[in-house]
Amino acid sequence: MFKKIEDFFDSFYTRAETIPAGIYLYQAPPDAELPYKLHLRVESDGSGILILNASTVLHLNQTAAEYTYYLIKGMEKSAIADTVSQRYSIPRETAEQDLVEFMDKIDALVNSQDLDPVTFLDMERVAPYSQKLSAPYRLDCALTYRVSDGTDASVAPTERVSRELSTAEWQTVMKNAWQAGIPHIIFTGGEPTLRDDLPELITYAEELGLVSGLLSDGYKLAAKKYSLDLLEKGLDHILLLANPDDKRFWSALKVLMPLDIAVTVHITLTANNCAGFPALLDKLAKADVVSVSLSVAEESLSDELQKAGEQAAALGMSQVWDLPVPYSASHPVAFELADQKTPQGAGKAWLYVEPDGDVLPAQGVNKVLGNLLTDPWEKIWKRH
Amino acid sequence: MKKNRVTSIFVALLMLLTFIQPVLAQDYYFEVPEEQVDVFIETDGTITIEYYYKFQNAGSAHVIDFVDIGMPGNSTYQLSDITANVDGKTITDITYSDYVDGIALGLGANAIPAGGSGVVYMRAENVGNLFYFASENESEDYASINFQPSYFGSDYVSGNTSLTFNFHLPPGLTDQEPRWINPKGWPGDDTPASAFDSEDRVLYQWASTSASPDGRYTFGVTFPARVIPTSAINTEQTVTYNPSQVWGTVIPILCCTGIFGIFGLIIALAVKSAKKRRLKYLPPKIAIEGHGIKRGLTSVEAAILMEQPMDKILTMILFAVVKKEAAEVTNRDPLELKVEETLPEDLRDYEKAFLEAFKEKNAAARRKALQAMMVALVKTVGEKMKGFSSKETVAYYEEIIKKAWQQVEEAETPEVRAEKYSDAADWTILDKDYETRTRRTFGTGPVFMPYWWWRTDPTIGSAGRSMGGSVAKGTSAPSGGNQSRTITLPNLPGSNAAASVIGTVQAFSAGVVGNLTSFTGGITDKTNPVPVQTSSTFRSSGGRGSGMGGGGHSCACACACAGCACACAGGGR
Repeated sequence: MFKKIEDFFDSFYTRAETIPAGIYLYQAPPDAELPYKLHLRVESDGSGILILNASTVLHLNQTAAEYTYYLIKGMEKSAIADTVSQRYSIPRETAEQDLVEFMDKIDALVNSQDLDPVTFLDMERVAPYSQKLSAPYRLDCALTYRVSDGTDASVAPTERVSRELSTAEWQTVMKNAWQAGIPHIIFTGGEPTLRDDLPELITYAEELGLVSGLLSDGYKLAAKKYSLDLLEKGLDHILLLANPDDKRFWSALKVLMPLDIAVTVHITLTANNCAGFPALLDKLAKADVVSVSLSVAEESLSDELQKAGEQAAALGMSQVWDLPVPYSASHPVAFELADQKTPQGAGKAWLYVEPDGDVLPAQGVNKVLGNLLTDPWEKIWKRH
Repeated sequence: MKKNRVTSIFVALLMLLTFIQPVLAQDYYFEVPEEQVDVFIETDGTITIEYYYKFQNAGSAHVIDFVDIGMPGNSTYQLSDITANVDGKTITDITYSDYVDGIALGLGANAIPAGGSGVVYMRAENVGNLFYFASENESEDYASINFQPSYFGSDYVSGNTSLTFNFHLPPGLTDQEPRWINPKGWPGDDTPASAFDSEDRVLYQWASTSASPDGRYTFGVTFPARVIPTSAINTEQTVTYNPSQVWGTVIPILCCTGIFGIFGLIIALAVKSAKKRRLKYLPPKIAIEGHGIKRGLTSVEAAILMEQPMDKILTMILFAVVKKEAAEVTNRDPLELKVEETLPEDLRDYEKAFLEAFKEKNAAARRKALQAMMVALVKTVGEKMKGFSSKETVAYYEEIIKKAWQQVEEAETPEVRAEKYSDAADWTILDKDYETRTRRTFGTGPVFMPYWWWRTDPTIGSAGRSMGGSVAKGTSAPSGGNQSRTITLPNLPGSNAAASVIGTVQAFSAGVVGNLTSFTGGITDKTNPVPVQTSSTFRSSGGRGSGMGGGGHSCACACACAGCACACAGGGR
């Protein structure tokens, strides 16, 4: 009986809903001292993932996701406190204090990248890629399997695809990715700069709100006008595949390093280049390279790789890994964590799209999960 | 048995929501490799529900300590009718849940640990108020029930579930009388297997190995209403507000309790309803993705991370280059080194820079070069630590120090103890209680100094007489670098050994570094500058909060990272 009366009163109240699921972008204003992009992905249960500059991944509980959502929407602090206070039936002072502390933590992360967030910001640490995701963090799009003149064509698996997607089709792929909640796209190949529509695709990525990166041998980037054009279109970062024996690589570096864009140089350590590796790192440092990606072609070189990592650190170079580069799984951190059963990011934190739209867990992992142009995202993700 | 083909069935969806209680929601992560749900329709118009879950908890996840099981929204049941066990051990902590409209099973001492597995079984009897009349083209009235078995929050589960769902119809029905309804959301076959169970009940069974633990599946059956009491069957299609019925309940209460009582009741229910519609607030919580321990740091690099005093770190570098036979102390106060002309190949960059600094004869220039070396070292450690947890790494190296001491202290003979002490010297020196612990460990017993020790003290060349220690047992030092002499090393009483090391540290403070605070400030100003006050990350949000970030420090710690807490107060040596 009381239950029915209770139901009667219930009917007068609208059920409080969590904030709408989706992906939201906050971009630093042009006059900000640090350029940054924040992507908030709100999940259907109200929790969220906040990705800082396409690199630092934060997992937010429902409350933190809601505060971030309001901040990205541009709400004033007082209005946020009012809203949260009302929605959660908590004192306004509590909401305001929690909001301030939350904002401080995000500010500190954005402005002090060396800060240990566990020690100084009271955050929890979770192992990379250990959480269940509704979509990957990144999509690696191989625009073409064509390669630059002078490059061994066998490095690209051309036999896997019969055609390349058109500009409009790639735009559809990007739109699908954005709608699925993927905030970051890397144009790769083959050699993606061989696609004449690359600037157009970067422009479209920028319009959507995607962070865009380019993985290239850099030969076309040696033309300053072309590089500046890509930057102007909204390219966020470049990953150069080092070919120290080709002067076009060094020319590209000379053009790119003074520009206002993050550049990382990838080098694969092989038995052939091992001896000259320290000198190469020194030369890169002298060319103002501050970020490198290192991998090895064979596991027996892991000690040499560790030494190269030590040298890079001593040269003040940051190291990045988990990028779609040759031997991407054989990087220094992977060897260091080999005995710790670290979750793999391939197929979970990132996916790879072939030139015809087929989706693979990662480059070289030839298990087709679907086609991003023709299959619904849910179907592809379910197979990952 | 034939498939039910009727198009209109009066049913109400029974939402049986079962999920692991997210007390620390971010931490729970598990798989449910097997699940079985049995629903027995009893002749008294109730049902019995049985859940069988096999949990596989993830390696780094929160222990599964509570399982909350939602019960049908309008159902009636008693806690005393619910039994449960985990791995066959009876669960006694069965309460109404604070989190779902249902019950909470407290697993207590039998909670499933991270990486562990366990089977949870629950049985609820006498669950009532669940049936509705079905609209069937049949010759008699039919009752219906739809049932959505448990599912878990998608954030907390992974993998597939081998799920079996069994509807046990009431006893006394023939196999031609009941009907099944196409399941909703089900990845397996719509058509169930059918049979008679051990109690001769008609059994419909749906099974799939590709179900999801977070999947929402609905199963239903209809059957002749005569096998259960008519009073157990709801006549409404759905539970909706019906004014006449509400007044039918309100008026008698009004008569019995009076006008004030009913106002109180109305207000209380209204407040309760309003609160129910609000969201549950937990303080904002952030978890960051990152690796844990950074292994492979040298003891010097670990010292930077552990914010050891600069003079101690410089001493450690001195010991390192001396050990590698790259240099030799020619004078202790003021400290002077003789750098070998041919340097070993395995010198690290900071060791090379250290030696370069000591080639400088001008004290101020040398000091400046050492500061530059330290700045580079701090930055290198910072680069190496990117993506790793400082907190966990510091804890890891503290454990190494602890184990180093343990090896020394557990040695059974003075000789072995001294040998272990020598071997572990790189790490034990990092202990802030190094001096007192050395004294305590060795007392007045001998400490055999490392084979390279003679290079740190020019007086040892004359048999260590000036060290104040008795030469109880000579040790021939190996020739090193360009040296070819044979030297007898001292063994010192514990207190003297510690004092000797500390003396070297002090020599750095006094003769090389000068004012330690000033020296350190020259480093931290570069490695950890006072941040420029910037606007809030979210520009339009009404300004900054309380403000955070690091700052230059004026203590003696290395402070490798921006925002370093610099908790060096009194620590170090």
